[in-house]
Amino acid sequence: MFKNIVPDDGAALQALVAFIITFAVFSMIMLRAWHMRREDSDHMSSLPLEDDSETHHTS
Amino acid sequence: MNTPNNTATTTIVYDDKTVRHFMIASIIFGLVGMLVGVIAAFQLNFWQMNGKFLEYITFGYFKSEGVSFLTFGRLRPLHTNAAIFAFVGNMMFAGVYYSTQRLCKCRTASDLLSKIHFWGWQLIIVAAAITLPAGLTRGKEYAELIWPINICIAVIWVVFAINFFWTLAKRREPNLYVAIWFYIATIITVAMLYIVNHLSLPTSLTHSYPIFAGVQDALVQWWYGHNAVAFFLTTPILGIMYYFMPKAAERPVYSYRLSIIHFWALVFIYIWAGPHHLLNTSLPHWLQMLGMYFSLMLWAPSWGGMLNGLLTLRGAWDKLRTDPVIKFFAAGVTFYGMATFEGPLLSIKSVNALSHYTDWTIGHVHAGTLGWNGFMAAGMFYWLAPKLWKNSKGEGGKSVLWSDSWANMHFWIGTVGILLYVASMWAAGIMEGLMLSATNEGGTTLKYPIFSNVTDAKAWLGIFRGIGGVLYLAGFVMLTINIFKTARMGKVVEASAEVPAEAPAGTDDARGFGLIFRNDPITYTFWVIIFVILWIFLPKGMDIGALIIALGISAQAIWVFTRKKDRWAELYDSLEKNWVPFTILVFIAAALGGAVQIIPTVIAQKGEHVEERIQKLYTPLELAGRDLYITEGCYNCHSQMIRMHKGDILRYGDYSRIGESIYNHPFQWGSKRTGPDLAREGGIRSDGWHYAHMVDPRSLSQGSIMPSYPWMLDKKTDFKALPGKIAALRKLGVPYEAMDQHEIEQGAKEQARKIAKGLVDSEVTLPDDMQDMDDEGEIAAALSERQIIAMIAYLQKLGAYDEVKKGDNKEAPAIMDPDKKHGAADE
Repeated sequence: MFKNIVPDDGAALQALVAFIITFAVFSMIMLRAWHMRREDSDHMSSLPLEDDSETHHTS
Repeated sequence: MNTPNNTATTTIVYDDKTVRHFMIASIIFGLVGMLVGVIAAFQLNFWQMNGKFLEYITFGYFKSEGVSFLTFGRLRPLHTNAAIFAFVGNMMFAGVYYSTQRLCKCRTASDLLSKIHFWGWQLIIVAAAITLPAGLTRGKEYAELIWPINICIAVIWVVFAINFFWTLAKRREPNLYVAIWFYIATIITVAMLYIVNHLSLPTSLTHSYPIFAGVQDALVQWWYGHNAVAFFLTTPILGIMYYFMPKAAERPVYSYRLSIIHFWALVFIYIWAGPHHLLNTSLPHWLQMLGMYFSLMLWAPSWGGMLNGLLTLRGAWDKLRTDPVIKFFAAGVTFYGMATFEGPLLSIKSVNALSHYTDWTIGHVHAGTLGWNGFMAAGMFYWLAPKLWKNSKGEGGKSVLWSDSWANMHFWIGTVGILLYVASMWAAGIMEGLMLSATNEGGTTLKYPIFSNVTDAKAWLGIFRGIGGVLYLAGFVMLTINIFKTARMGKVVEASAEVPAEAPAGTDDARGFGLIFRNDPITYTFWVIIFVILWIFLPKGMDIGALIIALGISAQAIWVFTRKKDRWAELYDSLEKNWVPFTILVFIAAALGGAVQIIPTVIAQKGEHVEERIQKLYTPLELAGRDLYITEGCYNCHSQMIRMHKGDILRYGDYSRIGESIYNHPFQWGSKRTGPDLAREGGIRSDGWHYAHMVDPRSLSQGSIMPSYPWMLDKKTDFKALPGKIAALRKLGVPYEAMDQHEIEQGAKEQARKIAKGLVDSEVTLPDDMQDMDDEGEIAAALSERQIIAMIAYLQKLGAYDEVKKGDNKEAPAIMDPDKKHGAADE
């Protein structure tokens, strides 16, 4: 009844696969982020603040 | 990259009416969802809350031991659906409509589509509020709604998507801000998840069977369930965080670079983590391990996002003392950090062995929904209200909230409520997990063999949970009054802005469409991932080849990058100005993980391939009973999955095999054990025991909090529906032998009469309308038609299986079952 409770498995392989896939994605995105020009980054990060000149009127 | 300053401008008026509508709807349905949650919480302490309380409050005028549409099994889905789709859904739409227009510098593309979206969504919510308490359900968590409502949801979601992407196409700002990325991910991924998990074969207007069964259904369900949390409760709110936190703090986001990493890592990794809901079950081992590892990897992007949010408040921390909006945002993001720390922790297999099926998970989920979703909603509503209903009551004529004090009070009541709730559930969950698995020193018998020992032990903690919920609800009532008063003291306004007359060159240009296919960084990353995945699936020997190719491609990517650094950066810049290729890329990133896990499982894990054991098919009457089990929402409290743990095995019997639920449409493995597991319930107790237990659980199980089901003695089983249901299951691959309508109905009735006769012989308490009958045969015939008989038939079948001899079944394709190459299934 207790057989197979701790099965032999590919735990080591799956850990490596998960890590490598994640590392690959992180690496690519980090490269993109590092190579972003500062002025572009500043412009993008201030986009939400650009609409502060809105005018309001009653409908 | 910047928007040119010397272009012609035009004035646009934003559509804030839709924002107001969604916000009001969110508040109303939030109140309903939370109230139902509080009732459900107390039902877990006081069984009388399942309908008996009506007898007390009407001074005995209304007599009943339980009311069908008020039981926990039916109210819990109402609570979760209301909280997720009605409260957070409407809040999300309000935030998306408000911020997208501003970030795109254009009005929403179509007012008509906005209206259809709003009213369609509210009609869906009303339909859900009627059908769920009525017991019309698909029996899958957060996917309970019946198929006609599912179709409406898909249609309305498409309307929303068209309106959103049309707005992107009309935008005058070339760059897509990170909030928009999160919205794109939400729209695309939720559509994919919802459609796949809701694929069903209808048997009537209100009933259907999911096309997946057993382990396949479990995997698809938790791929959906986990990512409903990810892409409905997290990504849109992160988009809202990236827009509204800078607005509230009046400073730009801390690091735009970090937000890029946060987005892509989150979107790509989240989708792989679904199997962590099925750890230690009979889900193939390789899937469990991938689920666990990717959940752990999620720590990094989640905390990157949390820190980015919190650090956006740099230099504005003084506002925490005075500004309720900042308070809610800061606490909301902190709860996001807590929940995303706890989630990976609970995904570690050995931690999950303790936490799964206990209140610890409930505490975790509520830290996220109450803390992250609820507080982000409150912060956004308090920030929006004075802007959507303008007044001049503030300093210098500024539009302000009706009462900052009330908002502050809401914050503190809500925070105390969450902490009470979460802390009590942590304590209850850990205690529950330890008690249920505790054995004597020799490890041969259970220390607490009676399940209700555990229920009794955590009763007080349940009361604290309920009080926490009441406090949180009280805080939300204060928000409702505050927003209502703010609206009353202000005026509805339309906002307009001067924006460039047209988008600059480079926005959505034709060149951008090709980027998805001619983009070195994406191409290299894609192929590295593909060959690493092949490393899992290919047989021993070939898998090393896949790894070598992956390493070779990586090396080439590094070499190309060193030569074309600037070109690579430009490619990304272009991508972020072109919504179509960007959206396709998001879809690929989000779909890959699910495809890798689901496709092999659907191909390999079928009844024709299972080894060791295969479930006996339900007779027509047992099938009717199973549908009633689902109608009553029994799966909300009872699992049907005995894990490979000593505590589970000693308490419930031999551990569950894949084949023992392989034909279950839908699977019923469950996610919480408020009551005991039922996987091997069949044959343990007599029919008479089950009969008495369903009518009055406390008569046989002292201290039980299970509702009474008196209506099952009165309502009749729908025998006529059975031929259609069997036909549908045959179409889905359940190997029923050919039976005509007459055989199915007669077979069910004969089995029912046999059970009923046994019950009459054992002198059970008969339903009221049979008390005056004298003839035992007549009584048995009448009783056999009642739902209780079908339910007993089903319960007595649970755990029935046939042995599969080697060679009886076809071998599954080895490449689709990576566990085989490691010998896990060879025993």
